[in-house]
Amino acid sequence: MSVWAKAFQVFIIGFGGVFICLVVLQVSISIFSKLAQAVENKDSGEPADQARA
Amino acid sequence: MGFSHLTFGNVIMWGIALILIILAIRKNYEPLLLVPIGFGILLANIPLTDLMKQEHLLWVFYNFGIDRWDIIPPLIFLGVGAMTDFAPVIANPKTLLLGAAAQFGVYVTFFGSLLLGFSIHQAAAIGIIGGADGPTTIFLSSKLAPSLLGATAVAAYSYMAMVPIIQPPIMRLLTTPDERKIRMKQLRKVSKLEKIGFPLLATVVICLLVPDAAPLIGMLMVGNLFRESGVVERLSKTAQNELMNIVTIFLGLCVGATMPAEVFLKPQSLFIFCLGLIAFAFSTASGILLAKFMNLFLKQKINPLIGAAGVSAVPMAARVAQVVAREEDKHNYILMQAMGPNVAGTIGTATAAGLFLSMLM
Repeated sequence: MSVWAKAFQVFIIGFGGVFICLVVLQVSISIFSKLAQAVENKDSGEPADQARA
Repeated sequence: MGFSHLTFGNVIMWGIALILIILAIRKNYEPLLLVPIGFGILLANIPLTDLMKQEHLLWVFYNFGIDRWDIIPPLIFLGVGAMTDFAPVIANPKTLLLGAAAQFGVYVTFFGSLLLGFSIHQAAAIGIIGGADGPTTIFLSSKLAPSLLGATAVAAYSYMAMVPIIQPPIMRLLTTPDERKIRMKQLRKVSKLEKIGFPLLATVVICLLVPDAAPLIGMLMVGNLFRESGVVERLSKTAQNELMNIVTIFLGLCVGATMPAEVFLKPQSLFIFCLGLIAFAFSTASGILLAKFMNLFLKQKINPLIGAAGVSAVPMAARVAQVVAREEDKHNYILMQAMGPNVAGTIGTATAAGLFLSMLM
């Protein structure tokens, strides 16, 4: 493979790869944040429920 | 005697060392790195000291810290992780995209370097300067182009210090006054569980996708976990202070010691400095332009100035975004929002370095 062909390959996989990684990370963080907030809302809700019982 | 072996090149390098030390002390330009780098240059250019000869003092630091084991940059990242608050990224994960966009300057410079006759490995080492991340630049240069380590490291740290000079004209050129006045919603509060989960999640996601980024990302995130867990304060403090300081001393001296006159005083060093500036400029511009593009689709507009903070000169680039925003509107506070792309840029640059390694090693 010529140097320029290799360079274009590096650019496409490299720059595209950075975006793909960070998009996957972004989606993962969004999902994780929702789960974390749900867990925390459930934990903060429990004492009130137990008191009523 | 050393005097008989002293060359004009050595004297020029003494001058360069002096300039770096003066910039560090008088202008406060990245003093933690430029003082030891400057002194390392001085030591490397005193004839017959042979400090970089095998088994001698600086050779030992360099060989085991950078060349053979390459542990110094990851240890710096451990300290960086312990000092970094990723809450702005967690609160607004879209800003990760701005950190990704800012890596465009890396690839523009990569191609520019090839055009100037550098090899593909050297071009990658020069291009990564655009990520504005000193440890990542050193990490990549030491693996792909060790002969350029000194020039790329000095260029990276010099331009990081000059972010307040380089970025504002580009920011004003690419944004309108109305865009600069955009006010952003205050970031939501991020829970402790999210802050603890983030380093674990980021490590698994990025290292699965880019295994070669593991040394940098892994250490960045373990440092962050030390900080956020709240139960290993001793480790967090050590990582941020004593360890970081010790490693910085070795790093600076090693980098400086790789710059004897016969290695540094070549036209390619000047090209590297010019290309580094181009890298910074394009990284700044691409972050701003992506933010403007995102605004076409977002209901809650982003102030495009925070895109410029995608270069990972933390927290300088975020502060510059704040300063430029307040020039238009004194009550517009975007510092925390700008910290999102700023710290995302650190992740982006480390990922870009990992991808370079995976394709070129």
